[in-house]
Amino acid sequence: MLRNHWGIIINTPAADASANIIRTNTVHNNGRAGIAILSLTARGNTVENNDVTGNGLLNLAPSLRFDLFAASPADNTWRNNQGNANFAVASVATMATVAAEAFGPGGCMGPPMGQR
Amino acid sequence: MRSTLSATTFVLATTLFACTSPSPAGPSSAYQVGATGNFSTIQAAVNLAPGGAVVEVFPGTYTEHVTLNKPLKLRATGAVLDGGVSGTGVGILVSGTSDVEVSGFTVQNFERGIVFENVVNSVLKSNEVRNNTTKSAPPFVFGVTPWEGIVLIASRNNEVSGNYSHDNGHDGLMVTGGSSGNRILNNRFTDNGAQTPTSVG
Repeated sequence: MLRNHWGIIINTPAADASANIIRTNTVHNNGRAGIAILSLTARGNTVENNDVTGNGLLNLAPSLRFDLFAASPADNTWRNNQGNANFAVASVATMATVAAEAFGPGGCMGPPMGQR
Repeated sequence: MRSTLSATTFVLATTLFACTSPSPAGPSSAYQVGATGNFSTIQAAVNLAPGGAVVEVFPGTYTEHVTLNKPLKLRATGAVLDGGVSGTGVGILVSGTSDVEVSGFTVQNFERGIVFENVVNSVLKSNEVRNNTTKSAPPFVFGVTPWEGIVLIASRNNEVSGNYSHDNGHDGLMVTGGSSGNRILNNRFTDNGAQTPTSVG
């Protein structure tokens, strides 16, 4: 049964997420990306040496079938991770489309954060 | 630790121990929770413990919410914090403090397992966080509906390590609200998202 979602997600509706280190984690069997930085303003985060495979099972936007997904990959460091990444193959045009979808109506970044 | 308490605090602590304890205090900590501890609930121990104290939680199932807003070390061995069949809210909420440790728990059947909000220089390690799901009716809204295993909100310079977050309604770990400088190391995040809607990212 495909019933999984993001493994680790950096989602920043209110302020920048910066300088976080995500290292040597195991992230499997998620419907969208195993590790995702969805914020376009997240900077200086490091994602390295993680085993992130078997994700993207639901093939849903914005991450589609990618294990590692970044809306703004150039502003963060991604290295030595196992898994396929959107930024390794995405063109500038593709990234713009993905970002627009994520931040658009019904996208990941639309509503503000709430909590209990 | 008991020797460091003031006379007034000691009297108060003794009184509360008598009211909440199923058995005499153990030898290693004044704040022990469980069948052989001084307290029957975690929150009672947290409320009384001074900043810097260690609260030990012994094996057993605890059906309560825990809120922590001072620098404590909350260490469990074989303790299950269980929200029950229709558990809502947050299992362990750490808010507006620093130098906290939360370790060794199984946190299950709430809506959010463990939340750090405005927390700095703290440690969340070696916990199992599972089966925390929203009890809200659809439609579920990303970022609003509570259904995550672990959440960091506006929290800085914390360590999240050695945890196993699985089978939660949505995300294994969400880092949000400007959280920065956190170290997320050697965890496992699998099989989250039983309540994932396909209409939102």
